Amino acid sequence: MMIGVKEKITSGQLMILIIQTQIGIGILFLPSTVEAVAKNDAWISVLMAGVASSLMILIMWALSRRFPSMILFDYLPLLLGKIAGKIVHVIYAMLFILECSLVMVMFADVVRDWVFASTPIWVILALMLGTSVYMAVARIQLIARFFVLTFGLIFVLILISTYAYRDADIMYILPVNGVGFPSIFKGMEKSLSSLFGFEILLLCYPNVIGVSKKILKAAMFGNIFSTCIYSFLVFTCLIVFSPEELRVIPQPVLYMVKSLSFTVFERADLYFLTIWVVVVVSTVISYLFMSAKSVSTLFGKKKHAGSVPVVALIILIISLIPHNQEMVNMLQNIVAGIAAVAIIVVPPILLGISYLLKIKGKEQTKG
Amino acid sequence: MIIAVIILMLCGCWDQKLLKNERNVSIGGLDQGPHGLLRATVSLRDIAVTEAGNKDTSEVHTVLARTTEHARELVNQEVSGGYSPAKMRVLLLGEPLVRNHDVMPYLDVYYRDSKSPLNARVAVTKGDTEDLIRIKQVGLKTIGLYTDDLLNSMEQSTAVPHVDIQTLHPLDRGFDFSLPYLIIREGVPTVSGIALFDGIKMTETLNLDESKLYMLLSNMKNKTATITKKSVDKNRTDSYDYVTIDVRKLKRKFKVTVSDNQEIKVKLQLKLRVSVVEDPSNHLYHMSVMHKLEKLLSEQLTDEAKAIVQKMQRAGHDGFGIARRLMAYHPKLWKQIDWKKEYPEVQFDTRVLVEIANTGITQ
Repeated sequence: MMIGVKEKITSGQLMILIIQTQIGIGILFLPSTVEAVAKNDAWISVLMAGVASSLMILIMWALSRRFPSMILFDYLPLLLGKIAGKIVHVIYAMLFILECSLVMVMFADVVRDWVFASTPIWVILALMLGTSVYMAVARIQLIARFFVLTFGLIFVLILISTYAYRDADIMYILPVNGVGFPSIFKGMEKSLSSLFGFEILLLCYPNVIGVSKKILKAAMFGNIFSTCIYSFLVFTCLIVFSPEELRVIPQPVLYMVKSLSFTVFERADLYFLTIWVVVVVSTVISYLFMSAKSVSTLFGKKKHAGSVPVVALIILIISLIPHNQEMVNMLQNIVAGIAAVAIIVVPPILLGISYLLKIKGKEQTKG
Repeated sequence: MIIAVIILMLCGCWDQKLLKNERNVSIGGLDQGPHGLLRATVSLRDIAVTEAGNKDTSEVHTVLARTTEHARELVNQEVSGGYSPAKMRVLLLGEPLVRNHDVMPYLDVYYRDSKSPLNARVAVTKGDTEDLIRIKQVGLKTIGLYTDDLLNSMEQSTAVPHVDIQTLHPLDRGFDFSLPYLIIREGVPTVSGIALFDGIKMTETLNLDESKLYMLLSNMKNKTATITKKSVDKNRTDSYDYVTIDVRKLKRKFKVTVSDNQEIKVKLQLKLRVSVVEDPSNHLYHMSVMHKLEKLLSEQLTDEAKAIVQKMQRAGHDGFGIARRLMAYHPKLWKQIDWKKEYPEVQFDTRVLVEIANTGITQ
């Protein structure tokens, strides 16, 4: 399958594509979820999760490199056979759809708690998904360009939260490694889910212009960037809040920003949220794109655009289901389980099969 | 399609809150009521636009409620328009309440509600807050604005710490907080020092002189910090014998050590580079006189600092965050000890050193 010039992205765009998919809803929740297990060593957990995800990127890259002109779903049947290939394909489609739903559920929660207390949830979800569908039906090149455009906003978020260093106390993170390695490791597992998003590499590898080494570099840099941002935010929250506070505050970044008061404007959390919404939209677009791509290839269609609205509708329905925290947690666990299979277990197996049976895709002529 | 358009146009209608319909609180106070109830007083701010210009007026309401949120409901029933705490500038706590009760339950709603004013200043009043809020107006300013400005200027001159609702959240940060202490003098609210807390209970007060030094000792110097002390002899009281210094630079050495037999020792050394802003006796042109003054000031301040530290220890107020340091650097010891018992036993080595850097345009 040849890919047209219009669907090509540069390696720089790939980097931003990965970053924007990784950074999203997690920046609000990560600090307190990781702190819950790793205590004041949470920032180490995040850094370690970054290392782990780099390793996964390396495997995905090594796998994609063997099929330079195909995406994951094209070579799945080659490696696993028709039936097993389809099963794994469905798992991936489910993962993307559920991940997107989870993002939507958490997004709606935050918007309800912080800004629109009485607006019906379905309105918030529909507006968000509607906006994302509009972008997700586009070619990957356009999506990447949009992401580059909104990339700068991440820095604005960082800038706003940097102001909280005003009431920071470095002693909160001491003693370093006070909780012991097992807890740090558990925290790493928790933070890994926020770093997910790099799996987009499996779906857009053939779209990237350039030699394979350059692609690896871009993906790695993207991952390092996201890891740094996440650890920075976790670190900031740790030194601003005492452990007991983090336990009761699910979105510490917003909370931290909320108490800031500048001379001209108050409620910095609203400004933060406004920008954050765009960052989340990018994540949602990415996942919509991935879900649509996996669904359309499942039914043998070439273009993903047609399945985007359908997928969006499914996601809307799924994200309307959870009514309480328990169900959200359940959804979270389901996503974590499928993600563990699809992102951590499957790629190394595929790579192994590919090496053992010497199955390789044809080299694509690079322009 | 039509539905989509309608949704897009209606966005925000569910949650709109028009400013003209809202009654904003500028200052609120919590007092101890009978039978474990809470007496809450609020001052609602109104701006009357007349031909002569805008005029601030305020309306005071007091209710007896079970909780803060209950109080809000009750006030809402009393006043016209929707009640909104979002613009509150100052939250006052009555001394009887903070001495006898745990106030944290009453503050919960401020942390939980996303619209609540986390950056409102917090202060303690001698007696009930209601008396203060009932003053309604001081000069041209309404009481809320007046108190806020008063606290702000006191913060600028390093007399009281800046504490807002957010920084108050005292869930074991490893140090105790202190709040500005307000009194009513001749019908006008005045800051008379700070109230020291042991955990969540107020235990002791410091007067303005002490609180300034307390602030310096805790390394919380703000824009300016001036201290007026005797310059010649501690026992003479002639107007010539005072000197006023302005602290320019502050160097603080703070060390918590644990000896082999588990004794906690604190070394607290303050180096102040000051400039003399007032010295009526005009004798600083002699180097020897200046050095003598430095020594005298250092001695006086050291003595006072020691007295403050003793007061803090007696009150169980760990304002310097020694507990935090123990948690961070001596986690093993921290787990063994009973801090409430241990804190008064901690040995302090407090010292203040004054160094005169300049003397203004006269010597």
